[in-house]
Amino acid sequence: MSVENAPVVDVDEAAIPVEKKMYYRFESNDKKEFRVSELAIQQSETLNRLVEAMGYTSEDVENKPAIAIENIDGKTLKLVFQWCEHHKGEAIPVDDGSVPKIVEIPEFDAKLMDIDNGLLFKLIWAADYLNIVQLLNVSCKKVANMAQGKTPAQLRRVYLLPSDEEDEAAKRAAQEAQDPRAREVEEEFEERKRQGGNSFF
Amino acid sequence: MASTVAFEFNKATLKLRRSLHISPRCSPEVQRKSTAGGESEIESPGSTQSTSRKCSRKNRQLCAELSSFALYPLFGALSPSHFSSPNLLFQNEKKPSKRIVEFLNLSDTDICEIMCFLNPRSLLNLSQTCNRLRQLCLNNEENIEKRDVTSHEIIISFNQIRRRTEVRLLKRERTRTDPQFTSSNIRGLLAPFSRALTKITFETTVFVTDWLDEILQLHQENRLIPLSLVFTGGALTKGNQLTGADLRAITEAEFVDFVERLQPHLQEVQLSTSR
Repeated sequence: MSVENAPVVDVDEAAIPVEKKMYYRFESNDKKEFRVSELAIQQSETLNRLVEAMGYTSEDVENKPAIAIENIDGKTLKLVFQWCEHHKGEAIPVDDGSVPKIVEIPEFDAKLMDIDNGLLFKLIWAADYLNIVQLLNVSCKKVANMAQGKTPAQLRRVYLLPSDEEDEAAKRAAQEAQDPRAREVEEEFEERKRQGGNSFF
Repeated sequence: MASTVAFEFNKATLKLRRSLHISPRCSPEVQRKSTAGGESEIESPGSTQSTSRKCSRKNRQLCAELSSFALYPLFGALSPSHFSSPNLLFQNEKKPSKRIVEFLNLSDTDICEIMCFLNPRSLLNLSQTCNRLRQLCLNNEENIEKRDVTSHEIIISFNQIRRRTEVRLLKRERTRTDPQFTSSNIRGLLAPFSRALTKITFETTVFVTDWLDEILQLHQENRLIPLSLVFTGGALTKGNQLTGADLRAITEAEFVDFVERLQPHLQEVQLSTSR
């Protein structure tokens, strides 16, 4: 029978059992709560495994406390879940090891990542922690775009990087902060050495 | 008149500051010295270097402060907006270190992820910013896109004076003033984040077999692409003494295998050697 001759069956939409969407509740380290759909969670390998291991039902989600994500603040987590909700159901990309990686930043992602550098770096950290491959790719690409064609001096300004001298000074300061007496002892030792003393003590 | 008042005010501020200033120089020992002997802070010839350095630094600071006051009435009168300008000279202490270094708070893995999106030029620039990034770039070099460099050629020769084989990197169309880079191995001459597409010349008395492994290894790592292999020395043969790049330790089959492994990039092999 051809497709044209097939009988048309009226479908009563109300009769189709609607699959109830499953939501999970998450809490950031500053106690902000988020409700995220099951499909969106699949973008994060870490969260996906976590909810699978917990085996929550719809009732559990409402009755039990929200799942705490201790390492990420509310502002960052909001961005992460916004991204996951927008890209839910999309295939997770597989890293083929090609260099340089070819990643396009979609318009939604570009708008989402139109944020200050500090938050963008936190977003990268969160994407890495929650193992959201595509979010990590686009956020890294965004940061890399900021560096293209910049001189070392410009890069230091963009990323707030210390110069080698500042780096060493900070190391020395940290060492001194750990042991404030160390420098005094060192100076005293040098002085005694110059004066011809054989032993310090 | 206003500048004179400002001058007096700043002088009083200076006195107050110096009286409240707490530093190693104002330790009880130094204070005792100064009260006992007036100008006793001026070190005797036998004093230590560190204390004299401290003293000279203090004197320098004092000079700067006093000279600023001496000049202030003149410049203060010219520019009333710089009412407190002499105070700028007091701010010669160490700069406070930058408070936030957000990019460096990222883990090494994340930074390497970012590096994967950078072109070789940007990567080279990034590696020049600070120690940690330089180390990361170098450690992650094999996963990073490399820039093709065709401007130089490699010459492996035996240094008769030092009695050892040396590798030299020379510019292709060079002049006498162009610098040459010398190393004991090929790897040491290759620039980071680059892929050298080059001609390799083996000069006389060089044991070619010593270099084959390194060349193949670098070729495998995509750091070195030999476009031409030149084995020189045939013209230097005198009488019965054969000279040239020493290929005696390598069989024909091994040599063919070596050349095959450098395909498809290798375009030319010149066998001028008599050995």
